[in-house]
Amino acid sequence: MNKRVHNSDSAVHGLLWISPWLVGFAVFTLLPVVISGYWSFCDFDGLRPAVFTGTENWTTVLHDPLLHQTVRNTAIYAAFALPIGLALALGLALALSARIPGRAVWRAMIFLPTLMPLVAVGIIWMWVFNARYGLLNLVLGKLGITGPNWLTDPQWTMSSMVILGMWGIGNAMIIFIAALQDVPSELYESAALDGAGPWQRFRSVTLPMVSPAIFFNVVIGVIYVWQIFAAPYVMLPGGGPGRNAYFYTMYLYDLAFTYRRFGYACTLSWVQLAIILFLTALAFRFGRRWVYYRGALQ
Amino acid sequence: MTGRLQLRWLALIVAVLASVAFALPLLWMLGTSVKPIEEVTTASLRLLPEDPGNITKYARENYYSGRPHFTDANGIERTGHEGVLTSENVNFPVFLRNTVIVAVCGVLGMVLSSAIVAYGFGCIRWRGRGFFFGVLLATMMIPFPATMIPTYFIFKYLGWIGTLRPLWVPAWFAGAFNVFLLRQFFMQIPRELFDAGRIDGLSHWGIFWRIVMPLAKPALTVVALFHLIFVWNDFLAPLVYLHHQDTFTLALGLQFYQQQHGGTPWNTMMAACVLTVAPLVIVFLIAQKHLMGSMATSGLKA
Amino acid sequence: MAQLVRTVVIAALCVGAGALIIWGPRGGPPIDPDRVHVTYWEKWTDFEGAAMHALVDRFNATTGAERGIYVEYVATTNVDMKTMVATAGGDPPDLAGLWQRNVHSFAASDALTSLDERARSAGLRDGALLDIYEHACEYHGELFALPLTPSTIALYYNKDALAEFADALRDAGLDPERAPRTIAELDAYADIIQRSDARGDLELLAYLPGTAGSFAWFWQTWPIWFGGRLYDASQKRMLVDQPAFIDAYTWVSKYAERFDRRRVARFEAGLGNFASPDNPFISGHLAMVRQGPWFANTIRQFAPDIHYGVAPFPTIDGVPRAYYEEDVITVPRGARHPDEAWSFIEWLYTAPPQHYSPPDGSTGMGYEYYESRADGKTVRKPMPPLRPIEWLCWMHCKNNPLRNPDPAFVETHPNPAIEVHEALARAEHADTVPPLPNWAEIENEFVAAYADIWAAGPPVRERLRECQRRIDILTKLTETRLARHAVAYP
Repeated sequence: MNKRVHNSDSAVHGLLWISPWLVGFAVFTLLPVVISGYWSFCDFDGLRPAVFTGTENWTTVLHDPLLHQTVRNTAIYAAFALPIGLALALGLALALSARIPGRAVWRAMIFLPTLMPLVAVGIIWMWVFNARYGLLNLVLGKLGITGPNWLTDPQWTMSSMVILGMWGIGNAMIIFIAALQDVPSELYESAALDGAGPWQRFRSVTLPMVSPAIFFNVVIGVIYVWQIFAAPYVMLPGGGPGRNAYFYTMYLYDLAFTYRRFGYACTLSWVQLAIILFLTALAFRFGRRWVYYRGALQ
Repeated sequence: MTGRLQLRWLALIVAVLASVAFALPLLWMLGTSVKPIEEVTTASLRLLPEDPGNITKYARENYYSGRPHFTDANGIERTGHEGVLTSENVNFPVFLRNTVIVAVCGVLGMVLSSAIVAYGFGCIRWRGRGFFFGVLLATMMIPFPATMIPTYFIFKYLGWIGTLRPLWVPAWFAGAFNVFLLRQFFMQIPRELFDAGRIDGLSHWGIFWRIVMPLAKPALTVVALFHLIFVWNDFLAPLVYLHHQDTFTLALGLQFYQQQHGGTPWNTMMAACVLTVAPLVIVFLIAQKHLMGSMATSGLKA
Repeated sequence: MAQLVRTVVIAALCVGAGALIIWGPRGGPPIDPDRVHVTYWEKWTDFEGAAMHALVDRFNATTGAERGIYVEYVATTNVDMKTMVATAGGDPPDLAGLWQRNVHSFAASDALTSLDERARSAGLRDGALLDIYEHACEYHGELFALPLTPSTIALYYNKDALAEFADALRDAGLDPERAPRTIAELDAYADIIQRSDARGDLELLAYLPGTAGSFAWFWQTWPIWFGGRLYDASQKRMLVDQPAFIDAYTWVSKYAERFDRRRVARFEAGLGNFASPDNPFISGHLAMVRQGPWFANTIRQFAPDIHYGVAPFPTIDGVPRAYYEEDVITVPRGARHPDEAWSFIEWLYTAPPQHYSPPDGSTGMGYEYYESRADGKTVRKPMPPLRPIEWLCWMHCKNNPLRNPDPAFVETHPNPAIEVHEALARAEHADTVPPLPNWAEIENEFVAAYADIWAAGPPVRERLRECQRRIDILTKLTETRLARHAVAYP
């Protein structure tokens, strides 16, 4: 009895310490999620009182072509941007982990764009992507390639967004660099003794050792893509031609604050939450199979 | 060994090429921001204006004074453009001030509240702490858009729509990720220091202020930096809560400037971008190690 | 050393931040506690904003001072969305300068204060306004807005560009002295007036339908020039899958194809901003554009030396047709000072004709007009005294919302083609944005279809049928939603 008093404090005491977060959680997360749950069964235009409409919004989810398009767009974006981004980030991390001159400078230059406000990123890239006077097509022109109309050709808008996404892989790269540092050099040495070439060393040592970092980046990426908003909102309002770059959160925002369908928008908030939870759970389940944790070995 | 050397050469080439590719858009932005309007829409890869001697003049025009009139190639007087900082329609100095207010109020609140909560999770043992910590971790997955609409009406109820308060007050209620980060750090503080504090008769509050906070300065800096970057970046929340341009933050102001009636010339647009990102670049240069280091560890230990 | 530098920089940043917060610039004028502060959000910036700003100043110095009202003019991007979100958030401005297309949706969702009674007692409801402009401000017959600056859409053409191709035009049996009157003629002009650079990039086109929302304003008007209507009020139905739409959009699609879609898109991406010397008409990339009367102002501002003419936009049968729209002023629901806000609107319409002088330090551009004398010379003359609302339209180079404009308005109007625009406002065939509460959503579908057809060239009939299907769903939905609040659609 005496021991317990000495070593642990009462729950009230603990709750007191975490009360700032508890209050914030209750007011800015729990309450909104609950209200949003209620409104997802309502017709609410923001000005007049909400009218309960049963499952109407939820059935609309199944029959809303625009919603389906935004989900498709977001999934397509994720399917390209995540793997390409991770591969690039890992490749750069490998290069920048080697003992090369000016390493810190190269790392900093690649990391810097991740700090840029996304609105500024969008505007800068609108100029870079300009079909006629933009940096990208002028560089391509020097190489003898006629660049496409990045932001006006419906076949290219999604690619433009993916390219734009590559500008922000600095975070993932830094995480990979740290993971690579933790790989014990004995492992490489013993692999080299076994006669393994660079590719084999990468396959059998590096990849398993950084798999937790890959996993982490995948989870972060999966959560992130459903929130993409600022850059495409600035660059391609309404998703650009063919609405091929109309992402989930843009539609959510438009529904609420342009069309004032707050009820239906709340339904989509819940759908968004469900999608993220589902994909994260999937990542965890799927991840367990191939993520290699050093701790498990010991 | 030659194989290894070759790999290092390859690594260097990749590093240089990638760095240049990543830096080019920023250089392009910087270059365009000091070009005269007539050089912007020419299909030329020049980063600087054709007449580099006039850079300071062009820069002054684009960033500050504008160019009310100019005489074109045919000797005809034409209307030019405004400078970013003296524009009649867009008040960038006010946007900067608003952003700084949100940043200062927000960072203070975020650091303080996150530290307190992290202490509660990391340095005090109590029943139910595991459960609440699990809830805290779970909230990291809930994106702002999912709670945005009811939150908007909560702030409406409080009468805060159209003020800066919705942007910084929530920061005083701790951020899940920051709590997580600080808790990791607090748990690495040697147990003996806590015991020594207790023997000296310090309460938890005393230990928190006199022992933990001074030791945690590097971690607190990281939290401050993360929140600062977050504030500078945040677009959706200002877009939803702010409607009067006197209250705009830089990110929102930038979009406002881009969308203005009749369009914005690319050179002053890029100058505005430079002004918006410059403070962040300065912070990055000072705190590079902190930022990149913490980004790395936060990832691995999650 | 590095540590020291770092400390100094951090300290400087902190001091700077503190100083900025305490002494930094603050938006807005100081508030006079003895006067009612009326906030006025308006879309205009630049010279258009300056004109309204001058009126606000005049009001504040005269009637405003007498009645203890101070109006603050705030330039606002995306003013319609901002106003709506602010109104829903309980923080609306007292006055909002919206577009005509917003009136019905705002009124239907109870976001506007009715101005019917007030306008009636000010004598603005009995024929003072031109019918088309008055009706556009009504929802179910009730007045929710007042016109600020109305317009009709016409074809602006560069006479020099036509002259440059005069021989070729004459060889094709066309008249280089006048604008095309039919779509067929427009096509013929387009075949002749074009130029590419050495790399094969387009440099000059006669005309470009263009991407919706870019410089190609009024992209939605195509069916009108093809003899159709946008909306059938008796059926309460958009007419997207009807023949005029299909013909019009097939023509748009073919137009892009004719010059090679990819080349056209690149050409379009290189065209400059509207209000800039890079405006494609001003910089000589387009010989003809479809624009409203304000375009004369842009030309006056950036290229006063261009020789241009204005004509009704070409139509399929050569019969002139009008498309009109207007900017309006409204009082959002929940505004703190609706009566004071109305005072300002009323003043705009009822204050006596007066002179206005350019602000200190300005060149005075826009405050004068040019009179051609018999000897062929033009002289600069100061503008005549006008009522505030007419002066505003004069300054914006736009039409007049009044049924009986001041004779001086047309005589001295800075837009040399104001007669064309005024005549179109009184034309037999005139159409405008459909008065639908869900126009924003419908328009979005409509833009998407148009953008697809313009940029990718899908089969037009099928694409429009799909568009119509989605519009019908949206219409049904809005009908149900409004019925819940006992509001009839449209």
